[in-house]
Amino acid sequence: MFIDPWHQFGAFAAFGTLTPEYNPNPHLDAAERDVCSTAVMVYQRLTGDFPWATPDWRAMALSHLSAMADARTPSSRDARLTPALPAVAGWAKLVFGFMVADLSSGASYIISDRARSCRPQ
Amino acid sequence: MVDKWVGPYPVEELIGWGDFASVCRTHGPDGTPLVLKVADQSGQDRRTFAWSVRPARAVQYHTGTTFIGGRLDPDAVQQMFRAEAVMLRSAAWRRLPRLIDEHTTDGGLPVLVMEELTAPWSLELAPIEDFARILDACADLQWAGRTEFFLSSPSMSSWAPTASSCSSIPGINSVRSLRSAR
Repeated sequence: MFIDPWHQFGAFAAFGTLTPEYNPNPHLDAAERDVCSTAVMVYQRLTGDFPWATPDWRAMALSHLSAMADARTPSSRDARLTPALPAVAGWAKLVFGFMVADLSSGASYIISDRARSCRPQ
Repeated sequence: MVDKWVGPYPVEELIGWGDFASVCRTHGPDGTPLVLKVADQSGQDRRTFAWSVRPARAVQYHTGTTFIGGRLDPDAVQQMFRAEAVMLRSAAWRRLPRLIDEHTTDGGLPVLVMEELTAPWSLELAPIEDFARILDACADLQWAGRTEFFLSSPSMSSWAPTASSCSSIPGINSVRSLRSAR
């Protein structure tokens, strides 16, 4: 469903994999795109939110993931996730931390301070 | 959308579409359930920018931020399907659907005939361990892409992932911890 074996993009097109649906930065190398997109999917699975468009959302995502990684907060969506939640949230938090640092260093993420709701509608 | 038959395969129910292809059910001569992935860019017009379906695109749509994408010319579509076929032949033995056949429609659109996945999948309901499997499948495709398109090409054989692309993010190694949490 999410795997697009050839997404036309730059010199690494031949082995792009995940579709851009969940990738906040199309300028990442293919392997990085896979990891970052999967982390975004994990976050959406855990919380229902899309985390990237504004600084507030990014801060909220990291806060959510920290709480889940520390087992202070259950997933808001599905109790079946609870046993694996700390490890999964911890992994996503690491990836998100990379993306926030990347963004802070000037990377071109799909963001805007003018964006509106974070919630799926 | 397309012909009623693609080669020996009847075109049945439309079960999905994306930016560059539509997917229909079909079956093999022995009745085996299969799918046809047909080049079709009309999905770009039909898709809604729903947050729950296309979050990254939705952000782009609602905010006007730029995003690389758009329609491909026929040659690029052929190249895309050819590349996907090659990569699936190389990688599908593990975690991806098998490529059964390749065809073209009467109008010359490329078609991949693939194994049908047995269960529908949704992000909202997916078991958490599926995300590790997604990363595994991505890694399979990455490997197949390098093997088929780069390492076999003299001009590309010197290509290697940059240090930053491999080590700068918490990637595949961290999948182990996700697996161990199952």
